[in-house]
Amino acid sequence: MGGSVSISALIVGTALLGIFALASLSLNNSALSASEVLEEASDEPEIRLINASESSGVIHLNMTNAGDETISFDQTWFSIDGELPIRASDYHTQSTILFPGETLHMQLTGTGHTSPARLFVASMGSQSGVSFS
Amino acid sequence: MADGGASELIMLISGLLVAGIVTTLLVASWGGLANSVDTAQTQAEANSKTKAALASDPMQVSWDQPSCNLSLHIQNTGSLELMDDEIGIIANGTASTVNQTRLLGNSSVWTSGEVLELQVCPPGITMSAGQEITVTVIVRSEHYQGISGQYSFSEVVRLV
Repeated sequence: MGGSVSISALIVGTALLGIFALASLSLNNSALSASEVLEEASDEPEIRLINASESSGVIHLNMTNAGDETISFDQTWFSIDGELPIRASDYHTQSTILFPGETLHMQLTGTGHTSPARLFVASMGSQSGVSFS
Repeated sequence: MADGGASELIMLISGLLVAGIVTTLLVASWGGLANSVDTAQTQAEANSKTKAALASDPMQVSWDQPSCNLSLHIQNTGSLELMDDEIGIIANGTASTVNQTRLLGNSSVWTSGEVLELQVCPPGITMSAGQEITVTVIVRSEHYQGISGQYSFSEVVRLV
């Protein structure tokens, strides 16, 4: 009698341990996924246009990366006077990335604008705009 | 003695059966719970990878009243590909019709960093140049682990 009860208790105990192990694994996976979600949510760049001017159809501008993330010119779009956005990498080929803290002078040629009033830039959720001086 | 052995055997078999049934039930219910949690997590992950933002100048958004045409440019700022045929736009509180879309640049799919141009019509409302309105954009991603992510943002724009 005593032997069978012990065996039953052993089986039930083993089953419960198995369930707890499954629960721990699932909890661990949940924590990992949650941390991945948080990492995804925190990587937004911060781009700033400092000034812009136009001379003989060439647009000169200075901009800086004020955030902690690198900014790719493939993902950076300029809009002049509210018109169709143009990709920065189509007009600037000397470098491809604006590093955190870096300030760059850029020239945009062939945009077709002769007396623009306002320049706007957008890159992966970050926006900045300046009036031409 | 023989009776005692038989009853012990019956007790043992009963114990094993009860333990087996309880374990099966617990494992099954735990499995269901784990599946629900997994689905919720995947949805949260897909949503966190789905993002978009306005790429055109919010101070100068083109609006043409006679042709009912509002031009918007939306950049995919998430890490998942977005569906360009499943976009919701609410302009000045009115659910709008997306009449035309096209990707700028050379891309044929709306991947991260790419900009989509939208021609939108908010039917039945009158707006004028200089007016500031709120535009709400709702986007949806391609399937990520079988689940589609969603994202929405609102931005105040000035019409020109």
